[in-house]
Amino acid sequence: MTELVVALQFLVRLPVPNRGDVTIADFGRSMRWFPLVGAGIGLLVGAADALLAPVVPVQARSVLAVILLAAITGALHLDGLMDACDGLFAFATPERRLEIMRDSRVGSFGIVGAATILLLKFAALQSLPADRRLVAFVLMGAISRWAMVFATTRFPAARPDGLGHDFKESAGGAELAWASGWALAIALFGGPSGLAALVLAVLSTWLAARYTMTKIPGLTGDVYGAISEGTEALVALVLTPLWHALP
Amino acid sequence: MGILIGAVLAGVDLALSGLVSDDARSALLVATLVALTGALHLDGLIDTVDGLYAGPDANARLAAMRQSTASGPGAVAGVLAVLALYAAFSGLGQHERVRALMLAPLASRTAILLSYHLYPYARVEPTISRALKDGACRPRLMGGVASAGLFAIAVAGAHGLATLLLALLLAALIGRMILTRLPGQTGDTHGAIAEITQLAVLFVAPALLAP
Repeated sequence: MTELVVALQFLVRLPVPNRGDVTIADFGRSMRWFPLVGAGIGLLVGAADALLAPVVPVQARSVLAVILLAAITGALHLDGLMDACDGLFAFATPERRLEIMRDSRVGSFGIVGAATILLLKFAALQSLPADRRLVAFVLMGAISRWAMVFATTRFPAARPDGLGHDFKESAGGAELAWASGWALAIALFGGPSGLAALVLAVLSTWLAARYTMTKIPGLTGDVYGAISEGTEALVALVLTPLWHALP
Repeated sequence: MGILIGAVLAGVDLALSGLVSDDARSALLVATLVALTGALHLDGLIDTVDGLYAGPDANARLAAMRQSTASGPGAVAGVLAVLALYAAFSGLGQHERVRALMLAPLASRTAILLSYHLYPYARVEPTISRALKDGACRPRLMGGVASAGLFAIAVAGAHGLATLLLALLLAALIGRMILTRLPGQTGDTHGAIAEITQLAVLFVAPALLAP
């Protein structure tokens, strides 16, 4: 139970009761709940979307959903995406890239990266079939948080310290197995298309991790966040054509 | 180079048509363009706006442009440029779509060539951009503009050529405006010029390139 609370506290900026006795080991172990918490975030956003549907047009609801997704997570993963873009796309040595990623200020690549991912999400959400928006939000949340668990447990860490490393330290095969079980179960809510979206997320996460490792020696917490944001946009984008092609 | 980027854009656009919605297609075009150029010119635009809004004198402005972190105005410019690209792609109709996608990157890269040739350069230290400036002699400019003109005609006939000339005129004007705040151009300002002319071509394409 402690682990679920830790996962909630980390992934969600909502009041969650504090349990004082949390250790670093709980951080890693909390990752088995990531897809479930992601699905919860999606459910929340999807419910807000459904509530507003009778009075607010779809473009505005899509922007609101993008805003809500950022707000619920305290823009945690977007911040990671921006730092990762600044570091990975800079013309610099691997050491310098890591320094840039740690720097809390934002550069051009971070701005463009964040603007582009927000735009992709907006455009994708706007195109979702009206009767399946809620399912899409749930799948986006679950699969994107699962992708972080995959990236954390299956690829080396670039740094010996930092928040990302705290997770890496104590998460392993068991966490990935649990998280994958949750992700699979939730993806099936979307039918064969949900499963296909999960497979595409495996592929894109693997590619993103391999690409990162050509720039720096391993992954960091910022990269995990970037992977979460990228996967969320990817799932939103592919679900509409997948639902069109598959049942 | 510009024509290659244009060809990739048109190819991606064609591949996505029918597969995803028009909104998603336009957003994916923005992402493709950003990924293809490594956000190089957008970075130039952001740094240029950082510089133009900074400092009491030209030296302070040049220093602000060199800084790798962005200021508020720079961040706003970057977000707005991405939004503008999306709006521009969304506004393209079926008729002129492919031609506009081919022409816009071509025109904006030709615009860089022109502004390199026309205007003084602000920095003396050896950079990639400085080397480009030294290489932009008259025969190369003529050759570049002429081949761009031929491509423009091949893609969209006389309307294509007119669009290219408008883009070059706009680039020359923006270059002049920048010179009122800075002693010369830099790699960043050339990126800004490319980004703005590219947007302008996309904006006017429905009017100029439709049959």
